[in-house]
Amino acid sequence: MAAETGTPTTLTLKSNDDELFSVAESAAILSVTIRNMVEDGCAGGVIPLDNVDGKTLASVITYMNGISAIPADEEKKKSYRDKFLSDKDFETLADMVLAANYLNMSCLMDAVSAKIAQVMEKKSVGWVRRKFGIENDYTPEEEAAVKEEHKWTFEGVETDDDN
Amino acid sequence: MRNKGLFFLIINLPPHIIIEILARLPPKKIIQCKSVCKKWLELINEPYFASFHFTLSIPSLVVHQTETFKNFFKIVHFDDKYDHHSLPRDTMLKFNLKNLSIFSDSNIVVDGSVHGFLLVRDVNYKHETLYVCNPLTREYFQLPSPKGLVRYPSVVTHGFGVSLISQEYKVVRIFHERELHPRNRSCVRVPYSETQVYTLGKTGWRTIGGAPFAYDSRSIGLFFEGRLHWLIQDLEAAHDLISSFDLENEEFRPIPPPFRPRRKLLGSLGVLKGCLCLCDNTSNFEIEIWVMKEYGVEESWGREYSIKKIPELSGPSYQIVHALKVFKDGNILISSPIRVIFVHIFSLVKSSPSDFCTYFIIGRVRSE
Repeated sequence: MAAETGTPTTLTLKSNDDELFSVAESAAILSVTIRNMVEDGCAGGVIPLDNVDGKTLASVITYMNGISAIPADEEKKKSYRDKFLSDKDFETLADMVLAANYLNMSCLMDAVSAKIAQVMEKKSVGWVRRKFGIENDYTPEEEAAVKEEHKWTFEGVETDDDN
Repeated sequence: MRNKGLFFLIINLPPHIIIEILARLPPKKIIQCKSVCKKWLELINEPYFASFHFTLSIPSLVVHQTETFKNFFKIVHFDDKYDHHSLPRDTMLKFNLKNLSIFSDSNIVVDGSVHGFLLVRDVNYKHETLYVCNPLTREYFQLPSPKGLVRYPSVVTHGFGVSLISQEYKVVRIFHERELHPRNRSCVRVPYSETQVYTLGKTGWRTIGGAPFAYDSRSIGLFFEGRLHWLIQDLEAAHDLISSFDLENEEFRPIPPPFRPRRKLLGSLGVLKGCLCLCDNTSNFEIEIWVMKEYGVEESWGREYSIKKIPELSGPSYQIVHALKVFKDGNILISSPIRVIFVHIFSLVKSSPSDFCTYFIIGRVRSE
């Protein structure tokens, strides 16, 4: 394994649209998927990542480099993650959660899932269906029944004075 | 998946990723999401989802607020940082308990909590009823009626927990007939006792025999380490102070106490920093908190904190107080029924103390 020579090792990752990226092995092994390939000695040439496109992979590598440059300080890592995800739109976040899942990066998975949840929080059921590409398979009667059962969750903000 | 359009990718978010996302939503939003589609309803209703959501959830307090014509649970998150703590006034959620009981004269109290579920009881003697409820989703169900009515001077105490191995949720009800001292009305003898267990998901109550200890009537079972714990009244001067009930094998066992009390304690059991603790308010000037660092080991008891009462609270005390949480900044959240008469709080902190009582911060803590 190249890491045993003592010099920093660089890996080459290939996206599913054939873009090539160089990344330090120490940063790339945040991905358990990549780490397993390195440990199995499969990382000699180019590592193909068939489930990630170039745009998303570039973003993930930015994250890998950014987070691995921060020493073990959970508060600082958290604020880096917050900042990193702050300007991402829903579609980008959806791509990233799939990439994080495929690459097996639990810290990115947690952060992106939480960010998507945060974006969803104030949105309507209709918005959720549109963005997640979900077809409403309830009949109007069934949907009305489900909503009626949990009516309170659709009510406005409750104040301390109401009953 | 090569070169697929965004739309195609998104509709293919696999169920386990959907769960990761949904479990990070606030409870109210999760329930709203049941109306997105049938698949999501199914995902959210699975027991796995509830337990996964629980592992991610932040400990919070359930405040039981009772005023004339009002009876609420409020769920309050607290801020716990190394430099400050706070209990926000704004509440996340409010659950009107009027809707729980069909009786307009219901009198709801909290008798236990485990993993975010509450055991609540309508104590109105005409229609005493037990419910298990999830205050976040507002879902609840009524337990079958237990055997034996409670009429003064008889008392009952309850406990609610989950067994360590079989992971069964159980409600324990201990019934005591009491013989009172003719003058001071304290309990001198327990002619008859009965322990009843109800396993959630099974039918009916089981009577498993008597109860080997006289229970302090104000003590509610504290769930910790697969066991329920009660402070007991030592009628035979055997120096027992704490009783425990193993929810797995359904057996009682005394827990060695930190000291032998000379008189009846104004005490409560709780969990602080993952350890069983005894919060003693018997002294006029100090609240003492004893912590059992190694569960079940008598020698590991230590007087961990003593809290000097603020002047207006000094003097003879008649109230049980509860230690709920040690904040990272060194303050301790103590609940007491003295000051804010109508606000009841108990903690939902994981494997937590469960009692209803009032909250306020009574002063800085001196750690010993």
